[in-house]
Amino acid sequence: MLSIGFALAVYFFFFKSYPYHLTYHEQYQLFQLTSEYAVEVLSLPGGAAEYLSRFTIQFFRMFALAALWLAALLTSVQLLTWALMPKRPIWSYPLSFLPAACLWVSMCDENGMPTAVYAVMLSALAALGVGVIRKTSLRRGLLFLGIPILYMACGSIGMAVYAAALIINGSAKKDVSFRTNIIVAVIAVAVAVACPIVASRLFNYTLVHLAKGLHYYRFGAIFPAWAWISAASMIAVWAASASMRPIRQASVRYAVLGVLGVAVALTTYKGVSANMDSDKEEAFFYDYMVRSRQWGKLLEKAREKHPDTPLTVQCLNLALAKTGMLPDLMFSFFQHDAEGLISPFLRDFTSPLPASEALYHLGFVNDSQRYAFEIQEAIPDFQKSVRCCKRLAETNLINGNYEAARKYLTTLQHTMFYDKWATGALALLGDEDAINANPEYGWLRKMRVKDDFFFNDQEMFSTLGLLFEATRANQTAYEYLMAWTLLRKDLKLFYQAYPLGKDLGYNHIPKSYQEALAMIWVNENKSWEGMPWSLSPQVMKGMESFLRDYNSSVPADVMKKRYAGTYWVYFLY
Amino acid sequence: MTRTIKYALVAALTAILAGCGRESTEGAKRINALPDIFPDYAGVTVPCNIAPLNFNMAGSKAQKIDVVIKGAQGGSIHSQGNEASNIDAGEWRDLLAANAGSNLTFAVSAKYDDGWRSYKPFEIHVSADSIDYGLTYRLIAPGYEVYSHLGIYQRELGSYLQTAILENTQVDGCMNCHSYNRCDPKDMSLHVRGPHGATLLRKDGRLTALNTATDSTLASCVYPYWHPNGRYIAYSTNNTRQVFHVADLKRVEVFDLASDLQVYDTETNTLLVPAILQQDSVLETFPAFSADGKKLYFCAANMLPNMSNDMTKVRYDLCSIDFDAATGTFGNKIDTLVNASARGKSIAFPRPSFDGRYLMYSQGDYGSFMIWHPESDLWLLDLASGETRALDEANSPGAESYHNWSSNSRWYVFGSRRDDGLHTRAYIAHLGADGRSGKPFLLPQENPRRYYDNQYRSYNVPEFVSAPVNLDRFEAQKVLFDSTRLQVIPKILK
Repeated sequence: MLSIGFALAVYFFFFKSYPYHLTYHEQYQLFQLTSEYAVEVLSLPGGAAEYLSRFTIQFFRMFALAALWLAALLTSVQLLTWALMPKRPIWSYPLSFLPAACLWVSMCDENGMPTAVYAVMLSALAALGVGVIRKTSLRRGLLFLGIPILYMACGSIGMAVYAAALIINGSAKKDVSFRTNIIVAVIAVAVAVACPIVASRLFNYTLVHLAKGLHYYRFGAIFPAWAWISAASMIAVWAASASMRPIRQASVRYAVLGVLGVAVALTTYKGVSANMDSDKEEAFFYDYMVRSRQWGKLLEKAREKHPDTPLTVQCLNLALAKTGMLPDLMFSFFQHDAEGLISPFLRDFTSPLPASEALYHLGFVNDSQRYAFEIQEAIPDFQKSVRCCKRLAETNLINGNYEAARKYLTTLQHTMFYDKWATGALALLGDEDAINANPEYGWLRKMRVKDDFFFNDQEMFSTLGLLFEATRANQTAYEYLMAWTLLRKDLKLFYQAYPLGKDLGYNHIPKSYQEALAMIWVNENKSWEGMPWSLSPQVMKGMESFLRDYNSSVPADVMKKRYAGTYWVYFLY
Repeated sequence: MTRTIKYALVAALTAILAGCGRESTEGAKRINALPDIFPDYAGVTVPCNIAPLNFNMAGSKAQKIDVVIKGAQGGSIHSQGNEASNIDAGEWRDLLAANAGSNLTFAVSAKYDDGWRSYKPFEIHVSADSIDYGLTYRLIAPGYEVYSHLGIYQRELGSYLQTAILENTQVDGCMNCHSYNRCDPKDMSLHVRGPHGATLLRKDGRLTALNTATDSTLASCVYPYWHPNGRYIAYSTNNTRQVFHVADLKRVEVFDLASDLQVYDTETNTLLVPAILQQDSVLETFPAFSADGKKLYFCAANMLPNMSNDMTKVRYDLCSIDFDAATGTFGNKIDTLVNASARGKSIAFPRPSFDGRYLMYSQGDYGSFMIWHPESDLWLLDLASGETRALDEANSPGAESYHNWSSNSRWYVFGSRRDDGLHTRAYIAHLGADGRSGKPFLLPQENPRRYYDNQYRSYNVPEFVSAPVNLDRFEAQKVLFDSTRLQVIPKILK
């Protein structure tokens, strides 16, 4: 029952509270069903656990299945911990949850990889298999032989768990002397220590990296603390259980069971809640919505709680632009500065994602490609990204670089979930008519800049202006250009660029533009008479009221509330 | 004895099974055209000690490839493979040895859904000129500012064996500018950037981490070139920037805001800084000593007032200056050997052949970073006559860039983006005594299609080596991880 409860808790956690951490993982790998890929992954220490982890991560785009998978994995770790406890009095059952709980905590970090879960699980499973062998010499031989094998398959954590399980369980058997147990343990430890040392001669990694594990954490330089704590807790539970004594009184047994159960549950709850990062989950939600183009769902969430980080605001603004609401509604949401449109490139694999998307939708095909390329290169564990690979294929296809596009598409054909898309895109290569007729690629081709210039993220006014000037039909470019002037509070540039949109077919002057125009007008005129723009009466009335309040020194808090959603508040507060 | 018989039986059985496994191509439909193969090896000239030129049928629809290779001076190989031609390495070696200086004829058949098709045979020429032991290069994704997994590798040219010399999994940081003296890997220079940054110098078996940045120079030393006497290394120091094209097919422009030349004296740990090569109004870069060591070739361009905006107007000429190795001094006159700027062109990477006969360079429309310039081609300057010509035999519509010579100056390797316009691949070509080049061939692989499809990194700075580069990576790690750096001492030469 406790195990089922644990599985359900894990399932609901990842399905309901943390699903976008899973999609975050999915985009940073490019699992291929090819022998070359398998050999590349399996040939490094920890390769089998890593291969299974990557295989699993492919499914992380399906929330329910991914959550179910993780629940099954973590529960199997718990059951294996229990199965390998030398003594298993029922009151000690809650202790068997500790390693799985630590792995759960490790998975709360977006850079904690499922490899650690597989490493613990596979090595415990191997120990369980070897542990049932009755012949001591064979079991012992397999212990020594298994250490390097488990090191290669599961990495150093796997090796440690396997060796510890067999040593602790072996020493719990009464037919072996204490001295023999010590000798066996010393030899096992020596073999285990030798494994990364030998590996450092065979593989081009530092000894430290090989000792702490290559794949448990996305950043090689960071120690995968929770993965190791999990392994340590597993070994500690086994060691503790070896010296457990039976509790005779049933009431005491149940009391201990209850106390331990509550303690472990509380510890798990505390650990998970302390290590889960809701802000990141929210950021990953926004990014996933942009990636999957679920603009409506994104805006729905934004209305509930305004996004307020550069990453999420960029996603919001792109969603507003894609749904034609940017100029009307952008100031109904939190805005900070122009970096909420397209942030300058940082050498990072996450923060440039929304800018890359915005550049693509704007028609900066080359720069979207650059961002996608650089994001992929910045992935710390040197993996390729299925998301970036797709974007690189698309941008090369749009640019007519068909051989480069073919290379990316051929790779994507070896994936489980992108192969059909890749095959469809491959059919487009070289077919100019088909590409031009494609609603997305054809449109982006039409919007491309013909007269080359250099992208300058420090001078977005001229960069966006030149993009819009290329066709004068790129409404998104125009709206980003106007939004940039508004966010920079540069009404002079706003006024200069505003007429460029006259042929874009607006049936009304967008709200934020009206508010800016009203500000420009009242700054130099005492009445609305002679104003060349058809501002709505509400805007004019609002402007008058705002000015009255502002000049009467109404407190900022009140002004912000009273005129919430207007450009005036953004401009002056 | 019994064991010998057993082995003989197993070997015989294996041979029979292999023979049985080979499908007959009898009755194949005859196609009156050359086979469309990848890589395109038809008509290439190869050295007599190169690895088997395996190839695939272009596209992925062929189910089997059958190849019969016959030597004009005797010998033949028959191979069959599912994806690649699967040429036996031993038989290939024997065939090349028997046909050095002559031709091999490849008769290719391929099996498709509708059965076997056999194509018109093609020939390759086997040069009697051998090639060096191997090639070293950096493998790095053709990116912009960020790098992922990269390293310096060596590849045996007689086989497909590639091993890492140093990778960024061992030493965190970017690494490049690997250089040897006339292909001899005994002495080498390698630059590492990042937290453990240094110029790694191996001289007389000793590994030293140098700090080549000084108060008198622009930055750390890059683009090394060894003096033939092994004492000096010419370097440039560059203040480099990048900008990104919005519309053009050229994605990136890499350009220098300033650059100068220096020569490092390995014996005195002195960086010779000649004033004549540090002119503020001139960008000097890509140094290379002449074969006799008496000249230093380099590229030079006039600095423009606004480099960021005017970079497409920056054009480099090929220049030289005298160098006296005995005194470590420079001449006081700079000669312009090829005035490319006058023709609206720009020159990069001058590389004199080690026999002193030629100088090869890249030429594009402007700038110095030719790998991103599709118009960039290889040019050959005859140092005796002063005549220069485009190496049309080797050039392609894609970018041809970094190049270097084999130790016997009969082969040259260069980076080319002709295959997909993005990833630089290593091509090798023969240069005959008459100055004519053979058709270049792509660096052979066991299964080229698979290998190159999966290879997302570019071959960067390919250099021949006459023997394996036995760099002790643990020693290199130790030297680099130790924060101690040997500071080079600048010596200003007026």
